[in-house]
Amino acid sequence: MSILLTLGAILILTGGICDLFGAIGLLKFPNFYVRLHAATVGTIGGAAVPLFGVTLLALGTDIPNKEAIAGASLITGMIILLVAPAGATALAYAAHKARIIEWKPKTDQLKEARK
Amino acid sequence: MIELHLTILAITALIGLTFSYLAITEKDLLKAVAYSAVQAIAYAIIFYLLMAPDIVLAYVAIAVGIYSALLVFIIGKTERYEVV
Amino acid sequence: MKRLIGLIIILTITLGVAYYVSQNLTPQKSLHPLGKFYLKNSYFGDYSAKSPEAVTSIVWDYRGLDTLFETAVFFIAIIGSLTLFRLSKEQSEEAKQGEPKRELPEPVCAVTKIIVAMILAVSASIALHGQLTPGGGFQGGSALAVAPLLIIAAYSKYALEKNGLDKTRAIIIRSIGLLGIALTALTPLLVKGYFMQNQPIFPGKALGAPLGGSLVYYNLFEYLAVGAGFTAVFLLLSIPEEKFRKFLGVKQ
Repeated sequence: MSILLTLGAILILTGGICDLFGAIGLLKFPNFYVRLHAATVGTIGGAAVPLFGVTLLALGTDIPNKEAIAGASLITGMIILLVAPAGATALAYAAHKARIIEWKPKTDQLKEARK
Repeated sequence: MIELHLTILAITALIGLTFSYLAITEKDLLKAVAYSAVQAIAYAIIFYLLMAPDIVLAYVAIAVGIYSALLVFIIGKTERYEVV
Repeated sequence: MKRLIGLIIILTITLGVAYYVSQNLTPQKSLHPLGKFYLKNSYFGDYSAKSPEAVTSIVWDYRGLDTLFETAVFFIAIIGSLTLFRLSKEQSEEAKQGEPKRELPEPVCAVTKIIVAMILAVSASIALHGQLTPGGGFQGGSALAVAPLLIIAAYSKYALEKNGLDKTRAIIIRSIGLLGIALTALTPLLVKGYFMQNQPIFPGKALGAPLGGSLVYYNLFEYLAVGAGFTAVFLLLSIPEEKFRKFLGVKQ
């Protein structure tokens, strides 16, 4: 049992827990923006982190072509890490611009900046 | 191993069928485009499982990216809701 | 509710037919003889296309004429959409007037830049490795066409035009691609070969990498043609609706 395997398994477990929290949040949270936050937890915590875990797992084992598997999952994880926040930002921006969401914010800095 | 592949194949085929039905019956055209993109992803998984990576490469780019974008452009030029 | 009933009916019929068919199915015992021929000959064999990728050698060599006419159909479709949107010289100048501005917040635009660079690299690798790994000209070109789409979404189409990729240039690149495909198909006639012949006219290897004879040229030109053709259509479609109303003289 090497340290890479343990670390990878811990990361994959973290991913599963994040996925669970994201799903519960999507069901229970009150409005679109907070639900978007839960969805992003599910994407980054539940997709990017387990992919990094797979990288460590692949490096720790003796399967053939382990470098290829590790590199592919590392690159995929990094792309998700880049794209998921950008997508969530674009969604929140579009929803705010279209003014279709009923919510009662304490402060709305985007609205203040636009004035 | 082949049983696992066939099970995934059956499930994705049913997902694709369901979403194509939803895309046809949906009155909000933007939602219909989103349903059709989901159907395209399901079919891409099917093509990958049937060992046709060439088709997957073209299909993902066209059906999820280009086709949806073209439809969104065109919906932007007309009405958003389908009127019967 | 009505939709749910229809869905349930469709699912039941599909599952029923699938179950019925699966009871009466006899599995195929042997490989198709044509398939055996392709697998044997695509790299080794006497009728080799000098390409380790059997699919690409079928697409551009063994069944090359089919692909040539498919490409022709696709480009006739693009010409059709360009004809629908044809503008006079002043009108197309006016369609270019506009400020390139960010339409989305800054982090999205920064990520778009990185992703566009990645898409260019990946699509080039899909197209130019078409004779080694799955992929090819059409796949790479359609992946390439996603890049201008992202730029249009994040920065508006004027950013593309200000940086030199306007409709005319896209059509020129597309024509270069088509001309390249036609010339590559006609080259064997010069040395008394037949139309679209691959081996032994084109070199099979360069610098130790298998080129697949003419396959790499077809892939490269198809890549350019498909990417630029899609880009031209997107540039036309993203002209704002108000400008079109003005061109057509429609009153609001």
